[in-house]
Amino acid sequence: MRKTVFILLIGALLFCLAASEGFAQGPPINTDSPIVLGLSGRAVRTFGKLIRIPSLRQDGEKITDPDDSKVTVWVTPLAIPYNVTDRLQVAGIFPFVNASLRTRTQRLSNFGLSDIQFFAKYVWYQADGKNKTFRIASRVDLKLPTSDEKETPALGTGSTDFAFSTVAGWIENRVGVYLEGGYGLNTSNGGVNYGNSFLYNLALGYRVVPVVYETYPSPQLNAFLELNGNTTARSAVNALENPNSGGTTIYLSPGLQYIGGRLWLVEGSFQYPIVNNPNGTQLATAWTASLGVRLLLY
Amino acid sequence: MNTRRLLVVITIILAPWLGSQTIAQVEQVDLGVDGLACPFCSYGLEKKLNEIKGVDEVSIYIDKGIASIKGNKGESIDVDQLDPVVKDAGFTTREISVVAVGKITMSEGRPVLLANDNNTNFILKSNEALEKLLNQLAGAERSVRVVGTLMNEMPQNHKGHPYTLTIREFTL
Repeated sequence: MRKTVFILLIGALLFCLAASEGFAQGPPINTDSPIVLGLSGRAVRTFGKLIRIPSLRQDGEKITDPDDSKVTVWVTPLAIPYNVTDRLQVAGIFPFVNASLRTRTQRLSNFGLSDIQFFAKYVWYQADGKNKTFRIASRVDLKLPTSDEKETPALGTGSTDFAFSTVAGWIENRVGVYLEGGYGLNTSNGGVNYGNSFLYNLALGYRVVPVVYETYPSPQLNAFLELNGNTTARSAVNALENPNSGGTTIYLSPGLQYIGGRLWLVEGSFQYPIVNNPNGTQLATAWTASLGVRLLLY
Repeated sequence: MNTRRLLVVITIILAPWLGSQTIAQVEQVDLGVDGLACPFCSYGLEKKLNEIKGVDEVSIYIDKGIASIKGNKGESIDVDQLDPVVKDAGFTTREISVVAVGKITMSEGRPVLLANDNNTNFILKSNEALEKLLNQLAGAERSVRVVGTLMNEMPQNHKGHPYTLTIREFTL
């Protein structure tokens, strides 16, 4: 039973990462973008993301955990995109995960390649003006069961999952606004039928410096404030609904991004849950922090 | 003596070609690009513009929404590639402003700026600057440097270049 709980936990975490925040290919750090150009789409991206899950919550309220369970997940995905046309992008995402579980009585950890993911994104609306653009893109994700889910903690769910999302982005001069919504269709594995998910992200971006961007390329510092949310339905174990699964988490995610030239940027983000309502009794995320780079190779 | 004679013969053979290289070419383009709102998206545009035939240097001015292109000395920038390249890079062409050198001739009853290969010609749109230029030329075939805006519009039955050029300034 404990193993199932941790598969559900890690699975939910990785799904949230896969479907939205962690593997976003946009200039916002945790939200996707409809712009598939330059460092905003064509760049190979990797980052380290630390997720701390130190406390038990019951119906959204923090409670004392008799086992004192603490989970720490370190995710390092490598996203490799390829632009088929100026509007169509495909990508492969290879996430490496180090998950560790610590209780009063045991310490377990596991490291390896998690479920590999592929996506295709198509920009189907584009309205350009002088120093401004508004674009909308839709994306289909496929997550394959490539990870080791037999061990504890599991590195993935062992299920083949799908996600469909749409993102709109408006950028004018120093300001960018991005809105993303999506639906995750999760399948089953080993008697566990994973609940489907909604994801919803809002990102506000602001170019701190330079105030006036004259000649490309110039060093650039962007600040982001994002809301990254997901709501996951309860999973079922052997056809019985698990009351201690699924729920809603919405993070407030401030972040900074420094673009040093044509070919690279570094970025960091901190995520604090402002809504933290896992269903029933579950371990809940306290915060996440990420630091990453994007490199333009072609 | 033989060498000198050979050089004279080569010069005579190449003279028309050499002459046309120097009398007509697009030396510089200021390309108005819409959608240039995120500087970090500009890499592909810069790279693709640099690959256009005749291009020596590309500078992208984000605040003005302009890609400024300088041509190689003695070569003409291939303006036919500009709009497809901008689209291929994920942006939208707003306007194409050029500095071009050429001869003014008449073709199919219309004044044109004749480019070096006799295929690249810009039909000149009637305006005050063109009238002034034609008056000053008074029928003489002289080299002229013009600054103007290209519009992608093909007059009916015209088989030449698809651009018309609206002259803003000129020097003889």
